[in-house]
Amino acid sequence: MSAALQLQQVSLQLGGRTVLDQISWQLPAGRVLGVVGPNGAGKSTLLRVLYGERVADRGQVLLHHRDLASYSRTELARQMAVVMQSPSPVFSLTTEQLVMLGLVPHKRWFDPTTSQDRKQLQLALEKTGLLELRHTKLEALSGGELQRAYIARALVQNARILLLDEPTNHLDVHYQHQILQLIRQLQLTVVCCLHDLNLAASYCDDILLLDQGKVMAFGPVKEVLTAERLSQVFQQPCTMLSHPDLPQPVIHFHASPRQETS
Amino acid sequence: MSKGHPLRWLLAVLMLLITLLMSIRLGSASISYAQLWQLLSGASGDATLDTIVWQIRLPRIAMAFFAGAGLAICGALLQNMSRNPLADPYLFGLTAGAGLGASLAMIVFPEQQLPLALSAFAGASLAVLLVVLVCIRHGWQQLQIMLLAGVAVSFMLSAISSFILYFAEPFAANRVIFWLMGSLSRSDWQGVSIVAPAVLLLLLLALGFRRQLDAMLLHDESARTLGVAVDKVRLLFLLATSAVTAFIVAQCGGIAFVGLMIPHLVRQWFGVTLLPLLLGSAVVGGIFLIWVDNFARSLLLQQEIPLGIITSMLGSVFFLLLLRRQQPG
Repeated sequence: MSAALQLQQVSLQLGGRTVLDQISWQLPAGRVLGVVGPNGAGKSTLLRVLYGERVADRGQVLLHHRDLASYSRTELARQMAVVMQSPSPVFSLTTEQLVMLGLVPHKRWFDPTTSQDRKQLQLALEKTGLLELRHTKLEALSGGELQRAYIARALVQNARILLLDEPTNHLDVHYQHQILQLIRQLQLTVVCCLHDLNLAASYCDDILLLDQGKVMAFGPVKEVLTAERLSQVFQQPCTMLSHPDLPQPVIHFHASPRQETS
Repeated sequence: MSKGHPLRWLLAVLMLLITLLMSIRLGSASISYAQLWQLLSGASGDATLDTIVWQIRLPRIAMAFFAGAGLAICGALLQNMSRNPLADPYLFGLTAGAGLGASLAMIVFPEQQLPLALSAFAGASLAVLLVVLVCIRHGWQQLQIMLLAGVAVSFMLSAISSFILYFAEPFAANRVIFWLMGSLSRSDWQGVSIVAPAVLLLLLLALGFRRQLDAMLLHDESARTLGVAVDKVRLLFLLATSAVTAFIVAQCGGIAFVGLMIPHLVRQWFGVTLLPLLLGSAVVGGIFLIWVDNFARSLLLQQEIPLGIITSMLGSVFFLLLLRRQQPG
């Protein structure tokens, strides 16, 4: 299968510190990749390199077999949509206004909003379950609804690749699953930074495990997420527990054995 | 655009028409509606009234409308672009720069007979240039630096103006001071022919970029992922709004608070996205300044009150009320 995204020996230094260290992997189109690792592993920075906000010092990022640097900003925005952790805006938009911003890379100068665009908006709001909230101001949305609004914007943007930075942050358990189910249903190529390893194991096809800017493992979920490797990377004892109903094991970190003081 | 508030738009346009009709009649020479109709349709035989309406009142009203509209549009653009509700075209030191230009022309080089508007424009451009020079080093990312640099430049240029005024002969100094307080008494069609196209051009440019500017309401990085060249768009509109403000200041002197106040009102009535915000700001800003000027020329007999005094007074009271109404936290 052809690679939608491919990284070749990508390295990046920030403030004298190596944040990404010779990262290489490739992701076939249509697969969902979860990027996991401890704080400071370089997950968000990797995402920034993927959407062109940061340029790697060395190495190359290929998008559909073409150097990322050769894409114009608009071209890139048509290929790739990003859902990041944004602060809430000062001048508050409504859900519909936010979602319509997905049209920006497709419109020039005085291009009006067409009935086709309206249909697309309708469809995106339907898919994300936001139809009834379309005229609600963003500050009145719950965390989960706001994330869905950003995903709806990505749908209107009509890109084949979706990048998400911690989309389940600050969400309760129900919304965490709802968002990730939604992302899976979209059938896009997805790169998603996640903190929760069990969520990553449940919803991703592949896992990229990062630690201190290095790739510790990359591949299908079962191959990457092993108790031994996770204990080592997160420096916390880890056990894989089998679940009575689920095919994948449940990852459980537990307290280090207490050192008896005499 | 107006889909959400058709009634409010209708009301705004109606208000504008009423304002225009009432303002033309306002003044020491009284004009009936029948006379007004004849004058406007060119069927009047009264040459004096004809001159009063066509050469004095109409250019003044037109200037008030375009200056008010222009300042409100500039304020709205700067506020949305910087995501800072306190941004105002005058915060970038433009008035202080224009004041310096005027002081230099009228006091330091009176023999050269430099045109006042042109000197004021040069001074305002100098202020923008200084702000731009500081901000370019920061790659346009730090909006706060832009605003702070404007405040600093403003103080610097005001200090130089004050120094010049301090040593100037009182009559010349008075002229500069009165001009700095803002007045439309010198309005003519020539001035309107400079300000009106500048304002309309800025409006057109902004509407062309409306989606990009709306994307910048969220977050710079988020706008970039939508394909917006954030730094370039911001630089373009900083320069464009500065130029338009400089044209207005050069013609009308300092009219504070319009650019700050009007967009706040319009956001509540028409919305935060650029299309309704700019069109609303243009209409409301224009109406507002026409009425301020009506008061300025009719409140006291035989004497005009400088516009800046009225707008500052209204603006500051409005702003204090706004701050009081805002919920803490």
